[in-house]
Amino acid sequence: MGACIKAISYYLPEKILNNEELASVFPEYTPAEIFRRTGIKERHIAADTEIPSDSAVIATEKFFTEHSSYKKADIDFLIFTTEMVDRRGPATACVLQNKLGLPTALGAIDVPMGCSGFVYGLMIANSLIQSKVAKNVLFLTGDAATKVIHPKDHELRMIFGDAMAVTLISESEESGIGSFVVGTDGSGAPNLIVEGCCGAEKPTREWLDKYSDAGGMAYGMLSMNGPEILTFSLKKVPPLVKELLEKEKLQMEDIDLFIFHQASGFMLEVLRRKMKIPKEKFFTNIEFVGNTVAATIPLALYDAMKAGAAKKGDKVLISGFGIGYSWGATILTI
Amino acid sequence: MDINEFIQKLQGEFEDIPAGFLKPETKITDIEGWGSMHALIVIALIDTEYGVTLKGDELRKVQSVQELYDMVVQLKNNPQ
Repeated sequence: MGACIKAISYYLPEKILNNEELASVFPEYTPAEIFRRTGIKERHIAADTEIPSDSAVIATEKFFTEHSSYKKADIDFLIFTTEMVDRRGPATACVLQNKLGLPTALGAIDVPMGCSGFVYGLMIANSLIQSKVAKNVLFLTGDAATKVIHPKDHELRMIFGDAMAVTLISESEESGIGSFVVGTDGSGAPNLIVEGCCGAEKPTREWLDKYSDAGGMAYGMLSMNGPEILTFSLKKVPPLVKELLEKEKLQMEDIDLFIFHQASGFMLEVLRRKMKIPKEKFFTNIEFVGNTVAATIPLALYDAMKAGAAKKGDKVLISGFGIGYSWGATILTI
Repeated sequence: MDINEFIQKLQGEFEDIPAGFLKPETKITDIEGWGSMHALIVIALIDTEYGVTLKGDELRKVQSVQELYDMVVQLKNNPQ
């Protein structure tokens, strides 16, 4: 008995931020330069009033419309992976159980991880099924990073977009989810961090006044040390993949497709070259969505399957890495 | 590796630098428009070409092209 991914859907907010609009705000860059730096042409931006739990409701309804053979009544576990929960309490996953009309005989947890969130949530879903706690785990992953980006921060505005993905993981005869390798290094926390919110840094009157021209940055403000994040990724991702392949007794050549967290087009290309992964085995879809934090891997997986880049029976290595620092990887059999 | 080859590689990464601008004594921050994207490009280049992954704060300590080259040589010879 094992677990596998049965189906994926995703939702993108309607509003699009393209490079032409960004270049009009930051005239020191041309649209072509923005694309060259990031590999991104468009990002979707959640409306001011739309928070990830709202996106989760829309995305879930879309999922059950697109995959009508699966029923809400069969869901017995809900995992909500976002860094922007509704409140300190209750868990947003509990609120979503009611909003989504899911059974009450269901476990519901928030997993507030970012870039590695899809791998972590999948690992939990797989463990819940293997340990017979659940048979059908509904796994919602997404963020609204654009809400914690200062409007004048050109670097972050060029990279991040908003999205919500829904993945159904169910009990299956054959396992479609391999073993996992994960890691954490909290000493890297300051290099990618949301400041000015929550327990450690309660939002103060001074903070709200300081950023009054940006609406107060009341959700907190994301800051990123780009060079440190690149160094971290170059140092951690290749050994992570190597360790996973050794654990699974596989070679690089045995993997049909690599899907990495879509951090930025630049970083993906540097990693691909460093690891000598052929272009045709390295899927990216960042061009029209940007870095959607916890949602990047399921978005790419969905698009890869739709495009025929990941076919039935293929081994797909997925790897999430970033904020924390936190990282993880596994191999899926599609 | 020698510094001329190193400079050629750096030059190749920066489309907007006029040929001959980079010399051993050139201050890195004098490169027009020097910013975090250039830092990313330098880290990626050195990682790919020399197998040395510089940290952002190590790069920040460096003033000239010569110092950057010396740091790469030192890290290459004494891997951490």
